Amino acid sequence: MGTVLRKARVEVHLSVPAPVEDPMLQRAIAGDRAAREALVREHGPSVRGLCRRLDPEPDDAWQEAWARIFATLHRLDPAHPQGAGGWIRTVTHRLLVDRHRRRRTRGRVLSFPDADGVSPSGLRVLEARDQVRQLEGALALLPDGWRRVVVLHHVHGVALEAIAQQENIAVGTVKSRLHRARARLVTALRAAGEDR
Amino acid sequence: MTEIDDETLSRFLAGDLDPATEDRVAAAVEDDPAVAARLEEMVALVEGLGALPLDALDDADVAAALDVPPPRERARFVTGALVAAVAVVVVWFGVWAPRPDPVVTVGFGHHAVDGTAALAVGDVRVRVDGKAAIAVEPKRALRRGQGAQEAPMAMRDGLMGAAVGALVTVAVSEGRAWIDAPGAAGQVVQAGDEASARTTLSPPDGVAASPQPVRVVHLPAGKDSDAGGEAPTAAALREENASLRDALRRAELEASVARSQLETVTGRPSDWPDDLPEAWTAEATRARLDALATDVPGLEVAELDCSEYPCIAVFQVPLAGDPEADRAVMDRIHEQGAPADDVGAMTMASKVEDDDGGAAGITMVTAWMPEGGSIADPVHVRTRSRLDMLGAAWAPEPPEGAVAGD
Repeated sequence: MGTVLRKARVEVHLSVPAPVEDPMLQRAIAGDRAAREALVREHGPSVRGLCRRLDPEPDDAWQEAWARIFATLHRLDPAHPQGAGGWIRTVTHRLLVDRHRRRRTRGRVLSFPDADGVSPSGLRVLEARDQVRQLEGALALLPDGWRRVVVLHHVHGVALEAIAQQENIAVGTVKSRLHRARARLVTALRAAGEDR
Repeated sequence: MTEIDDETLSRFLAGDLDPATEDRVAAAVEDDPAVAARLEEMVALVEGLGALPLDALDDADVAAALDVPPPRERARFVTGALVAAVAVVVVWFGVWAPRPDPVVTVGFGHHAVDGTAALAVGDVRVRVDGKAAIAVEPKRALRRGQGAQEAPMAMRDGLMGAAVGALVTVAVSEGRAWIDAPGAAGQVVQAGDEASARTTLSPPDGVAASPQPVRVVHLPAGKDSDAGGEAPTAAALREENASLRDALRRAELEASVARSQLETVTGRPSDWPDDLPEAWTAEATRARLDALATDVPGLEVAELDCSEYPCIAVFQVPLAGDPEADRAVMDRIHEQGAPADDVGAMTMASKVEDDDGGAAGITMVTAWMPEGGSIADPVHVRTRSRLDMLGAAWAPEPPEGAVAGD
């Protein structure tokens, strides 16, 4: 078992990403400010959401995330299953895990966004702003590790296997966190519904 | 009918149940409208999560993302002061530094180095590998006669109170020091090598008239007869250096006492035994605990610390409310998580309360130890300390408004 794991690690280190062909990304890698701004505007909402929901100091995390993204942009893997956005989310996820481990205290994010941006399909489920707020509030009260799994998987569409890899835990543990978190969320929303 | 909880419904929705349980849940959903309604709620939750809005960005967010310093500069800026502070403590208290430190800027005063450290005094850089005393004195404070080697140097802004120039004295008692300074670049001073001290003190060719900011003192005691006309200065410096060495010895003693006190409480890191069976290794432990987490519903391995021997695992264990069943789960963790049959376990547990104050689960911090040995063994002391630290880190947060001791 140990030998297999070591081999896998070597392969990861030796893998060389294909060159980036997107001209905008090439310019961003070269440090072009306009190209980087376009990158921030395109992928920023996702990064911002991760920082807001998963870090108690979202503004600081936001800055640190982009600093890390730009510093490692030359290593961007264009073959990432979810494209540049997926790669950026992976970098952000790693950063947030690092920050969580450094912090060692359990912080919670209790700022809520304006719900005007709810997508039309989402309106079928989340018909009113207070429901979004309730869901965000219930999310904020989850344990940090559970919340990361739920937000990454359901809000940002990250595969459970990828989450397990980034969190350095077994897929079974990720699933366990996911299902326990969903159970707790549905309980919280049920209670909130009864209070109305 | 057995109650079907929300976690099971969530697993049912994801197809994560074994066939028997899946059939049971499917039957319940079909037969029991309440279960079907709860499943609908779970579906709505999943859809609702997927429909949460992305965050809107404003120009300030974009500017903050673009204008932040790159990580290296940022880290250097943020940690620079911390590193300097820590390193100065290292210098002053003579704690062994295992590798070259970042350059520490020092000001007026006496600085004792024991180990490896790099200091910056204005334009002067001094790197020490051994033991050395560095004195930085303002020119006006000098009482001794100033020879060619003691001319003042112009100090940069930022050196504490150094508006009138300063004199840097480097005295090496063990090992060596490397000195880079205007007019004395790349000089090496070796303890016990009189020649190297003299070489460093001599103004280089062509810069005889330049200020010579660095004075190097050679420390072999009781030899001032060969200093000729410089004897009074050499004697004064030896006296000063003796004082510095006394201070260093006192600091070393204090640091040693502090380290001993700390080690009494926390123990010392335990080396991994050379003949450790495979089952005790980090890889084998992780594999075993992952299998355990898969087998025990709801069990979570929150952390596995294999930074030292032995590995310590943090489990988050849900409680069913039935003492016998809960006891069986904990026994199973101890037995199935153990690397062998004949081992003991050290466990620290804390209760996780639900919103009503009931027991929702237990956080277990567990280390498996070979049977035998004494609780006073260093590895036991250390492991207990690690358990305490991990237990504190994973302890549930007290309810809002709770007071310690409640």
